[in-house]
Amino acid sequence: MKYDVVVIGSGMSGLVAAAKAVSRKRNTLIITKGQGMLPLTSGCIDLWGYQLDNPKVFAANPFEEIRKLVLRNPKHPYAKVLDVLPESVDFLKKILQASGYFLIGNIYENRKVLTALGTERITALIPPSMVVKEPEKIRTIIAVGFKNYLDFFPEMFLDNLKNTSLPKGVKVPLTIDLGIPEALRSNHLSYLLERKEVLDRVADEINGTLTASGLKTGNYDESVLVVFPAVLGRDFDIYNKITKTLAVQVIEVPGLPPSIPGQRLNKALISYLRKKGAEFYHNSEVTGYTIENGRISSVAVKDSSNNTRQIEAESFILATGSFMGGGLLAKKDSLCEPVFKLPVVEYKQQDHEACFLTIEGMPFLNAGLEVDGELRPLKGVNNLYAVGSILAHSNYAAEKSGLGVALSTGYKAASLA
Amino acid sequence: MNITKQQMDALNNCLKCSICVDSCPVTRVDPRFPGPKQLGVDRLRIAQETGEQPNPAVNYCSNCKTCETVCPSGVLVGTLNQLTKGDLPRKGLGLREIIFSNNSILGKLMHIWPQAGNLITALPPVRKIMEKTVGIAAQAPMPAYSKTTLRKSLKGYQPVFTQTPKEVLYFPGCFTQYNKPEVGMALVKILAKLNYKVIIPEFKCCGQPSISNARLKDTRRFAEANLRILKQYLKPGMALLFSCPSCLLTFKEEYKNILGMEEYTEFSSAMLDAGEFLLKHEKQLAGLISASGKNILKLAYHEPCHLRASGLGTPGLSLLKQFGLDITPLEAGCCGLSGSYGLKTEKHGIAEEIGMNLKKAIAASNYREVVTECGMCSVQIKHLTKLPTSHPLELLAMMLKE
Repeated sequence: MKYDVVVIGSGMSGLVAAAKAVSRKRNTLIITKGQGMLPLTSGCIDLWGYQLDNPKVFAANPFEEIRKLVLRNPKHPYAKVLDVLPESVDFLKKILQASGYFLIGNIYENRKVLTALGTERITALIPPSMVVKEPEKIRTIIAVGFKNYLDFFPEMFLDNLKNTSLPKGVKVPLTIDLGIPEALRSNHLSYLLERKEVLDRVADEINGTLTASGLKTGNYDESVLVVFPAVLGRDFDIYNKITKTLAVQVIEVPGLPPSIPGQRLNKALISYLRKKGAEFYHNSEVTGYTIENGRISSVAVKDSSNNTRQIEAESFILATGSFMGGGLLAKKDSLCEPVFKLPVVEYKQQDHEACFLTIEGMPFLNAGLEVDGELRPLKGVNNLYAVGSILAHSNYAAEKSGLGVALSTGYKAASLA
Repeated sequence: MNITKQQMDALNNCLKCSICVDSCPVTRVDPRFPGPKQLGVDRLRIAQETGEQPNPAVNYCSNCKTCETVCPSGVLVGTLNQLTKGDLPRKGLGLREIIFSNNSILGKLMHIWPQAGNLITALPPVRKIMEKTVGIAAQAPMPAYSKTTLRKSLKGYQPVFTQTPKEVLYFPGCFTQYNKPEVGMALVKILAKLNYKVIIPEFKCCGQPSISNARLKDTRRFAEANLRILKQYLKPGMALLFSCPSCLLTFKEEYKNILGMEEYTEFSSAMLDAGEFLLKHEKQLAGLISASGKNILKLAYHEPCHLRASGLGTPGLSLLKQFGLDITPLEAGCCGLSGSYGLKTEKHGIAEEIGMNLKKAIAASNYREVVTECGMCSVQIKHLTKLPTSHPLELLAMMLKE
């Protein structure tokens, strides 16, 4: 069986590449060893976080910074995709909308999102459930935790809010006991909240708190903000229902994985791909390739019992990620790309940096593949593209550029493939 | 527990990324199962040093293998859980586990008079007694036994070959043998048109039920018997076909990973999903398919977890799409039943709740029929949706020109 496009990897870059390919009516196969890292993300999409000239300060306009960046660092992956960056973001928003998922924001403006710690982080595109609509009007904040749920502590969240831009108002911590004796996990909590009787009970408790504080007016009250950990169901139904029932501003704040918002985003992309006829090989690994007349003609795909089969395609998109996803392997004294054995650009660093979470980032994350202007990593081979965090000269952690680079490079490669 | 060096290395590849917990269908609906990472990987690491006893909660693992499919680091999380289960001290006789692990005996018994057997096991008072005595949930969907077995159906069937046929081996599995022989018949008919004679030796059960019922001694007995049969029948260049994804997975992976039987690796390239084999004969098959089959409308496709875990894509779906059927993959996750797991009193509720995803996804569009390769998935789908189900092979056989 022959495909038009084979995408290797199913993180953000692979899924967007596949989505762009199927939107161009290309017969597309995604081969993936393990699920991509997208479901572990916060559900927000970072493009660029800090000012180039002042790396400790948030950037107000990510696109502006990226434009400056590509002049200074023409090897950065963004330099290869600046032409399509705006349309790639629009494309993603459009296809997600078709699967009932929404992203608020644009490439010209960074937004602040509250986290489960009560801190603020900067990002470009956020789901509607994380948007504080009228921050200046807030007078009361109710933070809702759950007994035996260890990923959100209302008191800590509220206490940390003093360092944020939210107005100082009345802060009410509320811990709801759902009667679960075991440790509660985000997945199970999200499942419970999808049950009407549980959601009703949660709403009743919050309404009780509102009434006790003399805040229940019966009309929509934008001066009250109710904050949940990000566990409000696997689509936006629960968020919409609870907002309607409480008639106040409601948000959910992202925390540690399992991340329900990340799962939502992942699910929406996959559901788009399935509807458009993309096929998947799960739990299988590309271990080799055949090259004929300067083109990759097929890849060897290994199933779970080490049997290989050849899969032919017109174009191949390598979206296997960085060290975490298995796209890059670190050996004792060198780095390698295991599928096509492509040359890897290395960034040397001392073993023990003074601060692991330094704002300049860990240099090793800049390692990866070097590509030409059309994202091709292998000279003389025109039908192989590399996208996402496997690309060199970008440090997603320090730059806050991970999903932005992934989606724009994935989009561009599939526009060409 | 015999954990190999290789498995231990793989264990150490665990990054703690939690993606397995994220995707575990059981953890989502029941907090008593803390998740594949905690009970499998984390506990084993600790137990290597402390000798800590396994947590009985590992019994809530359904061996759907979703954790292995989503793991980016190749950790055999589900496999390690099954090995851990096997290490748990056994309480009482475990009659239920004996029955489920030896379901071919049950199949033979039921086939003395299958209609009566089906009727009796559907009677509410009988089900109540079964629940009270052996712990099989009264509300759980019991797979019905067919009027005849595959073996008996084949007796009356003589394929006509125009030239000397090539030969393939076929492992029908207990479900096809006793519950749905139509699947096996479909395969035999399709292969006859492709000039293949199908040989079906007296295989034992693959042993997957005995793995999830923590009776690994039974599994070894089956695996050894099946190995003897394979050595006798499988000639060089011959393929061994499977229509059940769980049987295939057991042969290809579990014998090696759970029992340490390396002998099976030499046969692994011969063991193929039937759809995969047919896909290799796609062009020839296209000439045998009639367009009238395309009248079957609006099908949903459910990908069985064990097919997904096998890493060979969805060949049945590819074929049906290729031949013009209107078929949409559901992408709704595990059906929940997981073989005998959902039939057990204490797990029936979990199975129902996991299956709700699938039920919702099917209800969302006006599907007329659900296609899936797995027999027990189809039992659960029928139970949840009341829709008819079929195996891709059955649809393909229906589309064959006379």
